[in-house]
Amino acid sequence: MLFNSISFLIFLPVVFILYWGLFKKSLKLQNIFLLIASYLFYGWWDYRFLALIAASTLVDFFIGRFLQKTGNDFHRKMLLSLSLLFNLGLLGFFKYYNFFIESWMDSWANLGVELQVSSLNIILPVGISFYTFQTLSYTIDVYRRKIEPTSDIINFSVFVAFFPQLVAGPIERAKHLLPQFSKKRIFIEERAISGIHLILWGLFKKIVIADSCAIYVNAIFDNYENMNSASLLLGAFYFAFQIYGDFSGYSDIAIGTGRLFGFDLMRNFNFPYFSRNIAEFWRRWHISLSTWFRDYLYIPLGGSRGSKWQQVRNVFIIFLVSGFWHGANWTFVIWGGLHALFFLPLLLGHQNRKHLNQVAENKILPSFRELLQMLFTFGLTSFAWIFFRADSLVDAVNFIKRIFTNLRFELQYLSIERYNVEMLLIIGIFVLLEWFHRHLEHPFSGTFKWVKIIAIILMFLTLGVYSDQQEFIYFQF
Amino acid sequence: MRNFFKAFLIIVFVTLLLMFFLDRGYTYIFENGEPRSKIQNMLQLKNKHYDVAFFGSSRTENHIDCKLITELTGKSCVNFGISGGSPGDMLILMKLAKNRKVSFNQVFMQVDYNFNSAGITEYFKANLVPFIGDPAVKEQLQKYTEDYIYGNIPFYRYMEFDKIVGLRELSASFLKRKPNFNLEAGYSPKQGIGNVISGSFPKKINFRSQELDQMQELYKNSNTRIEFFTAPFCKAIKNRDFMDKVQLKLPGLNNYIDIFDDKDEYFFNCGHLNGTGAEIFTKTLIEDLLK
Repeated sequence: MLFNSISFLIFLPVVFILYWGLFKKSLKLQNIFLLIASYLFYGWWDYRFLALIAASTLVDFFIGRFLQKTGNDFHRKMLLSLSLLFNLGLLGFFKYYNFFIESWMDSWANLGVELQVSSLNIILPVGISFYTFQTLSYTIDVYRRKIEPTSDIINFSVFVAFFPQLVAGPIERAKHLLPQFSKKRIFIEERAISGIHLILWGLFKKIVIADSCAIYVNAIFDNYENMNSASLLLGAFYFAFQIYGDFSGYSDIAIGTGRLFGFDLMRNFNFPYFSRNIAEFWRRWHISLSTWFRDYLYIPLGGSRGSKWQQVRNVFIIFLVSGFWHGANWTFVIWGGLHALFFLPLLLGHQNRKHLNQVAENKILPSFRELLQMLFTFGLTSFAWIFFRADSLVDAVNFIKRIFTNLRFELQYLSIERYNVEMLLIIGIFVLLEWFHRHLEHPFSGTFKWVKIIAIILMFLTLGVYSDQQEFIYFQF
Repeated sequence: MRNFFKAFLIIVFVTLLLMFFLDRGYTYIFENGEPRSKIQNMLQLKNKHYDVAFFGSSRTENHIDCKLITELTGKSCVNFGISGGSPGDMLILMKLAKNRKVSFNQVFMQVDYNFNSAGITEYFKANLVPFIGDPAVKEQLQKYTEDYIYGNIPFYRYMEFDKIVGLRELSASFLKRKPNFNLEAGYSPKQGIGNVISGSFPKKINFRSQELDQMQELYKNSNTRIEFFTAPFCKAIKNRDFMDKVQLKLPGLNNYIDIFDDKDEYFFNCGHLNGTGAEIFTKTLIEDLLK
């Protein structure tokens, strides 16, 4: 079920009313109901893959229980390995099997040996990368004795399948989310109203910003051979806003929906395009994934301790794995590699922990230096997004090559019955709204709160894309 | 809960109110603004007579030069061909013309692989939805779509078809921006000579075309004569015998599929002539059918 669909528009109020009405008095019933609702939400896409979620839930629930019961280090390691093997095995098969087979055949073909291994027609289950990482974090934390395993299978099942964040995050930690299923939920009006505001803002980002940008992005990336430098640069620029609007919009809707049910989900985006360097960007972009990799991969590898060589190695590992997590294509690996390269000078120059505060704090406008830093960082991320969006490495390289060889800068007509100037205007309004509310989660506050809400609804109705609706990009991961 | 429901209901109320007023505003502008499509143009016509009218897809829009017909024959002429238009679209246009007392002596309907097309296109539907308040439009739309929601939920129709009748098109209509070709003459030639000239007809033909049958029925016992014609295709087109099958279904068909078999320079692509080809084809039609 998509957040921006009619079915969700009906599903959400029905679940909300039953949850706070019929099941309010019993925590157990509320959790069972949430589990049923979550499975319905997921099964709406393809009920057959519910078995995978159920299997992942059962495996990690029982491994957690066994980990608690045994003190033997060897047994504990074996149990952890079993969980890793099962979850990463699922991910490996459904997401990477064909990629490995094809890459294997390609590498032999380069040596002149033609191998005959057939790939499989595998459907990638929506959200598999998200819920496997969520359950893995539980088992690892239990193994590390950072949390106590739960003995309530319903609570654990709903922790894995909680519908607001099931298919595209935020990837929650058991330490943060799991205890919330054991506590009686109280309806806090202010939180619920802020939830509605977040949902509204998320839908605006998705339907007005991301889906509008998508029309331009598709027109440019699908015909990049016929585009001039200006159009190609705009293509990368639009994609930067498409993916931001799409994914942060999804996260806002997820967090807002969670609040309607009395849950607090972690923040996933914190105005990443107002970052002054790449390190700051990664503290603000897809926070739940970058902290996951930090805690379960980077730090166990040694983090920023050890020799310079080890630090460099760790940075490359974490960024390459993060790229590979996004998809079974070399384009994502290169995207990760580029970010590692951008990060490296900061690490070596001890600049990676700089800019921990919000840019231009307590000021209306940034300084000229800050503005240049933000533009430079945005330029670097937009450049890397080209690899993320391109269908293949060859396309990405040719796209970039054409930017520098076809030096023509007039605005081209894109055959999409839309003009660049209107999209740039919408993005301009969006950036200004974000800038002036960068200390908040959404812009709906202050004296003109209702004026802003009405303006957003008006834009939502008149500028939203409804006939060309796109799935959320991160569903494919 | 009280304040929460209050905030929620205000948002819902504001949204519905905006939808209501936007719907009224959009409809008013589309009804009174500059017509930007042939469908809108037709809906603004009333009590008009043309000697000759052409209906069809881009293969009519790009091929029939009505200005030339008027110059050479003195007959008033209109080209209702719409790029991507189906026989179903054209049937509705013909019915709307009749309803608005727009009459013709001769109607030419282009027929080729579109013999197999049924129903109306999304583009056509989108152009009609602003006028759903018109009983004639409503009657026609309801025959082809079960989605009565367009008339019942304010603004839904403009959201559903935002690409075609969204804010962009509304602004152009409001600002009286004319489309890039004359709507009344309706002719929009293709320019240039095609490099890749190939194509394919379907292998099988439908038993009948309900829309073409209804067109014949519409003009039966009236002062309007309907004729069917096929514009040229390139000689490389595959399954050309499809047109022989069409000819069997429509015995009076004026089939010009092969008149430019030796004239690749007249083609923009396999299904479309360029301006030069269109001019010569129009002259051929005048010579054969309009004198």
